[in-house]
Amino acid sequence: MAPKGKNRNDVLEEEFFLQAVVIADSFNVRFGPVTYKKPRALLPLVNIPLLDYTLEALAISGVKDVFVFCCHLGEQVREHIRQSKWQEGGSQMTVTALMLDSCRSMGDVLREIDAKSLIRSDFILISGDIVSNMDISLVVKEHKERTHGKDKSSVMTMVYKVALPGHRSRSKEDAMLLIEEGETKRLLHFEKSHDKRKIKIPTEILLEHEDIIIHNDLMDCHISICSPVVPTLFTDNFDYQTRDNFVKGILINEEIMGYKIHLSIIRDKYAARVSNMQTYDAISKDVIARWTYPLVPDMFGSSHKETIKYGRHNVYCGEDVTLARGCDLQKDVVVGRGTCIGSGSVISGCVIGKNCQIGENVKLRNSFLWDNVKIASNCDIDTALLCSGVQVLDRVIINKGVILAWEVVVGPDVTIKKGTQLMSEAQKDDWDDPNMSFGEDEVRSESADGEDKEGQEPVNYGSKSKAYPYKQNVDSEDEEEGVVLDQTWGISASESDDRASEEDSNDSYEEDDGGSEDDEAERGGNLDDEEEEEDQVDSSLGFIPSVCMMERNTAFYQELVDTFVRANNEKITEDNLTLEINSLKHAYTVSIEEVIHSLPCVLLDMASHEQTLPVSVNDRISTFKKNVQLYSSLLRKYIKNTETQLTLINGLGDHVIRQSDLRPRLPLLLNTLYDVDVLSEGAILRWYNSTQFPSVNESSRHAFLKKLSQPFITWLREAEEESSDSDVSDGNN
Amino acid sequence: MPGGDGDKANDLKERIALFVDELKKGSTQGSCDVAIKTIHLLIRIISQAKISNERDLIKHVAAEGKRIQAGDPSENIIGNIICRILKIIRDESGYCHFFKIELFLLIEVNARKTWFVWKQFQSKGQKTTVPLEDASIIEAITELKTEIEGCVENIAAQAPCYINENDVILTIGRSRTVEAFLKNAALKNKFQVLVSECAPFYQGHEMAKNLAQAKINTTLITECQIGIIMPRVNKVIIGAHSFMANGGLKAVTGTNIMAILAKEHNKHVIVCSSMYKLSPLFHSTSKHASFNKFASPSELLDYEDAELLSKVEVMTPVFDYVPPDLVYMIVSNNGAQSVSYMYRLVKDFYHPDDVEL
Repeated sequence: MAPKGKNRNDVLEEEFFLQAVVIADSFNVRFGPVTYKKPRALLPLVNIPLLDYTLEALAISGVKDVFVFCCHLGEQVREHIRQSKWQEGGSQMTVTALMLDSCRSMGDVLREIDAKSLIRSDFILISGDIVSNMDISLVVKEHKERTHGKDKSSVMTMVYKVALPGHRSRSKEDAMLLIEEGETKRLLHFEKSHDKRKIKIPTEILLEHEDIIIHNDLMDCHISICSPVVPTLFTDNFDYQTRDNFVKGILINEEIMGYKIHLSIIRDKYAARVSNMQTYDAISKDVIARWTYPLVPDMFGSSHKETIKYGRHNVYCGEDVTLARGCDLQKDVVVGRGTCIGSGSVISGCVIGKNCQIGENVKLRNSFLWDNVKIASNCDIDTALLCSGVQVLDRVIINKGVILAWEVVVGPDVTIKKGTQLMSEAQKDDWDDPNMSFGEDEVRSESADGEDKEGQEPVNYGSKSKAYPYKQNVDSEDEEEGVVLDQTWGISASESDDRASEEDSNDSYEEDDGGSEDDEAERGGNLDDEEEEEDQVDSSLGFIPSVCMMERNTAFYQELVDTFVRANNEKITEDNLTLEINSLKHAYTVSIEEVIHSLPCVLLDMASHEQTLPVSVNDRISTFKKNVQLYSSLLRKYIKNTETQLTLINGLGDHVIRQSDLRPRLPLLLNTLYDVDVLSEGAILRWYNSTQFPSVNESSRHAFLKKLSQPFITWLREAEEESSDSDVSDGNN
Repeated sequence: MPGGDGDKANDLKERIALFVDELKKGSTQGSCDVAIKTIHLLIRIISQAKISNERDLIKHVAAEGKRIQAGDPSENIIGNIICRILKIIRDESGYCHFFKIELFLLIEVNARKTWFVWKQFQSKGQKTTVPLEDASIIEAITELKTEIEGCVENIAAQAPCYINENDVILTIGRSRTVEAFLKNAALKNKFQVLVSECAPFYQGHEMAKNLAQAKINTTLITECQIGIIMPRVNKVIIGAHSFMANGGLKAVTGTNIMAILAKEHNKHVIVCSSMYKLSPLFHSTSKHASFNKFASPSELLDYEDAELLSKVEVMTPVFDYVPPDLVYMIVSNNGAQSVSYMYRLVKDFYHPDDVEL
């Protein structure tokens, strides 16, 4: 009988020998302190490592040969694969783990594939953190038909899923605009939109094609079918780091190289990538709500070794779970094997790992507990991630968006603020990025911070705590990092309405008594966050800021702030700084207006940039004063005449609109600039009195700013009168 | 030879994995297919096991069976087949005992001595390891296989007894047994069939198509029309995924409401089902982990709708439980059975020790 079986396999192989490349690294640090000890591909999603979902998805699609490329902490991935069911006899799929320690991007991996010439036919390129139940082989077939038929030049078919904007599984980072040629499904234009309100469509597309579809309703599944030529293309163009680079490159050079990219859009099947905390949350919910069927806990998680039972309202229980009388698993709950839950505990929307212990009267909402977590009694945890081995002692309250990394201990009797990220050991600076751009000064300031915090810790996280705050390194080398939309987790897309109202209430509150520390802490001086808030600020302003404000090049702005911070730290001379600013201006092709527009804001933001901890308004104002004095001559170099002064005031105005907590301080800011003679009296008054605006929006914005700056103008006028008085008296003398 | 054994073991593992994958994907072709495939696998498992001891063999088969069952815990057929094969193993080894005692009887003419041997045998009880004969077990299993393969035909042959001229028959979804049953009846009589489409999976569409092709007067209706149509119906003939030890049915979603309506209008609900679908379990057996199967909500709700998604909890059960009092009779390959007789059949087919794997 055995030979017969083999024959059958041979036939199968000849027909359809599918290969897949899994990249078990994300090459970024979106998961902050969590991926420090475990690679992203092995993070458990609903108690099963992410990589298993990906491999299962490939197995469902009939893939025969899988290469898993491990980079960060690759040994763990390799060990995991070694012990997985794929290595047992009788497995349909061979999984080979390859270590590539030196690779720092997806591009590097593909170049490596080319160098080793591992791939011979069309292959599936997939990231190691995909959850999918679709049959990818159908897309492969589609791709094959295309390449063998009329469109031989197609090199890649990318899979997208329909998900309307604001969908919980849509990662903000992946927001994109696609233009598809209607009939052929060819990709014509690709742009990451980042919630921009204006889009630019090259006119050639409109002129050359009769039938185009513009998509804003798609989310990237990060699954693509590649022709064998793709790795070679990566080798040829070694500036391609990510798939996005590649796609852009292909589209731009289409004329020259003649390669095309196609789309495949799925509706009824599921495919999504865990790319940050927000999508982790959303995809966990999807798995629990069975969208990923058959990859659901009771079927996928169960094996002959363990069964998971599924009950009403999406409650899944593993074996040997002890539920004390009176505990309430409300809905969407997964409880892993050997977990004990005490009486009076109320749990909803949670995933609880294996061998966890949860005390009495604990409230758990929308949280993720990995294995061996201990929660003592009377705790209240909302929207948090607790990694393996975390202990939460009695009466701890954990607010939204908290991440407690491996083996952190907190409590007793503390409240942990929103968005806190804690690690169990003090952070060393060498673990993440050895060539950090800031050099020694950064290290010094960090260690100083560390000491500061150590002093406060027992107060912060409870007397028996073992917790150190995690600090995100801004990796300025990574191009993507510049535009990271680090959305606060726990405030999901669908809840944005609540959030808007919350923000509004915050705004009004701040206007009343000048801003409270807590809200600032939440705000954390995160520029991108601020920009997102533009919408929500609308109502209180009475105009649409985005329309009338000068569009800001985020990357350029960030770079400018960095430059100033470095200049400040390294004591770079003014001339050199000017030179650097000018070269930045050219590098990002921004106008001189924008540079001037940004300068005051940069001086303001330097304060928040030097420390990751949020800075109070007063601190920022004082740094601003100091900086203005320091760089007054530099400012004067750029701001020579009334026109430039007006631009500067407008820039300051825009910035104040963006950051509502600064609004009451506008007069103070203007005064500071006036004091160092950057702004002249005439220019300020001219700005104040200007009456001609292109639109109603602009004039109402001006009115708003006028109202804010009123005290300063009054003072200025009085001073003027006084001085003229004294002039008169001088004349008399 | 050891190498060859290893190959065989790997081949078996591969086959099991393939079958489990098929179950997970749901690409099996009806319950008969599942049953036959399970039998094939079990024959392989038994013949490769090389265990001559009854109890060890039972343990081994149960363990391997559990592995297969894990592929889809809600697929009762697999469990049923495994239990039946375990029973066969027990019976066959029982025959061996009996056979030997008979031998003793023949040889030892002395009645008292025979009594002594018998006594001795009993006192040793099950500790005696009796060599099993693989061949006889496999032969018995093959018999079971032939029986299962003939089930549909067998049931269909009884059709003319239940369907009269000009009957209006209501059915739901697609069952291969019911399809064959109706087709067979159509050879003799003319009648009308109403097929409920069985949303959201719409197996009813295929059923209606197949029946129409066999020149049966067929109408496809939606589930919500069942209530309106019921007064016109003479009989409700349905298939079942499996049936429980108390005669309750596990059938496609919508069957329960149909049975309740039939009861309301006092129409007979006749279930066409093979005997291998009789499960030794009850609906409420605690270890019976998953009676039902819940599919993806994507059948009912569009995933792209961001707003609804977070606010709505969608359940997509694949099966209904129909309590036994709503079922009139079960037409099986062993003839028509009353629902109240099921408990007895369970005792015939299964050994009480095997019920929970």
